[in-house]
Amino acid sequence: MREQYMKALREALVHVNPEIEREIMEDFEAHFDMGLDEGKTEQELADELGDPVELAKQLEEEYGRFETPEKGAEMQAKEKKWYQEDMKENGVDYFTDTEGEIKVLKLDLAIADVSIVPSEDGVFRLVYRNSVNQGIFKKRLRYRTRVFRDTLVVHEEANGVSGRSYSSVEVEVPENFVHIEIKDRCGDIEIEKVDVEADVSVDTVSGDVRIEQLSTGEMRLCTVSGDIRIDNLKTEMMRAKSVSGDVHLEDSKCENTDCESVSGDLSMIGFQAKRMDFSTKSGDVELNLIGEEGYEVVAESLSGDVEMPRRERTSGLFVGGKYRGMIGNGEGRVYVKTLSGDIVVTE
Amino acid sequence: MNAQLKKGVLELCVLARISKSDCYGYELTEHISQEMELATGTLYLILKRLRDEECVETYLVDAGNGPARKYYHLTDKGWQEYRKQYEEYQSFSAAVKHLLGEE
Repeated sequence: MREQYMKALREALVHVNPEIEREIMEDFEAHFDMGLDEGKTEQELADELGDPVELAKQLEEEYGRFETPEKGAEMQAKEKKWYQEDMKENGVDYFTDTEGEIKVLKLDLAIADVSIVPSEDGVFRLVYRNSVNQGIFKKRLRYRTRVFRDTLVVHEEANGVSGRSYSSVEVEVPENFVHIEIKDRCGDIEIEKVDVEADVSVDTVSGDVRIEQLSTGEMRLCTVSGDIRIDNLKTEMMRAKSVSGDVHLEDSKCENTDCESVSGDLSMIGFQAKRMDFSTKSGDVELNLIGEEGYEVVAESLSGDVEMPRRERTSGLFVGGKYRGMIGNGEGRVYVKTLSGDIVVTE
Repeated sequence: MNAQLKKGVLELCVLARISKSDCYGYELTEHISQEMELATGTLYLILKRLRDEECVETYLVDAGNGPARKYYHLTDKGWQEYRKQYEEYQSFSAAVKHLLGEE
């Protein structure tokens, strides 16, 4: 009975300031201890103390109602392991990984904008928000979130969602994060100052991708019409693919680089790599190479112009639209190929 | 007994008991519940409030075999409060008696 009473009391006191709750719980425990010593039964003592709900009401009246909505939501999320069987609609969901379990993030989205930043206190956090303008048609935006071992998955589905709808995913990742995978249709994606051990992969249709100060083992980017802009990327292997979006890389170091587009322009400014491969159908290619070693360069345009660094370190030959030659000692390799675009290489 | 009526005087009863001698919570609840029927839990809420208002202070006393007992002691402010409430009650009680035609 004592245990039941104390449990009921604890439950009744949820809206009472935790400090006060603790004190009252202690007093009541002591009351039970002494009453039992005096020969009373647990039942008698519980009856005498009175209805927990009534007592909680008095405390709330006196000290005010204590609310912890955010913490409550987080705790609930944690308990459920953030697992949702059904798709949810309009809403906000928080996830905080205080135990440092989450190492992998997978986002499968429709319209959400994504922002990934470093966590200042080393705790992984994710906030998903959405709001849909329903209008006269059944416009729906549904989402589901799951945690499986070290992986957090957010899945979003849109069905005829209007332009005024909005949705976002904000993530704070700790230092030792392993893998990030983002699929999105029209949301913009921003990754900033993050260190991801294994790889980062971003796949969008019309959203723009903006990356700043990212360090990772492997980087994969894919877009249809969105532009890709990267500043200060460090990686072993980078692959970027676009149809009509431009790809712009600045002050980056990617050991192996593979860039491909149909009509998008490719520009690499202050770029360092061991092996680079650029290929486009109608886009222009601008290449500003840095680094101690030189490069062996093959640049080829069917109908566009090819321009090489002016300094006579170049020893190459133009044959038709194809240039083949060496810049410096030729340690690195550069292959550039376009059908109708222009190629400009500078040092 | 009417709960509202009781609520007003309960604090005075608690102050009165502690003014006689320092006591611990269980002792106080036993003392008061012998005289009137009430949920003893309420008394702990009153003790908590009196402590917040610095009318009482607490200290722990080792109770030998059991856990330490939390004793309540009336402070100077508590004495003033007790006197004030005592007088208020006396005049109020006199007025009620008068209105009831007893005096």
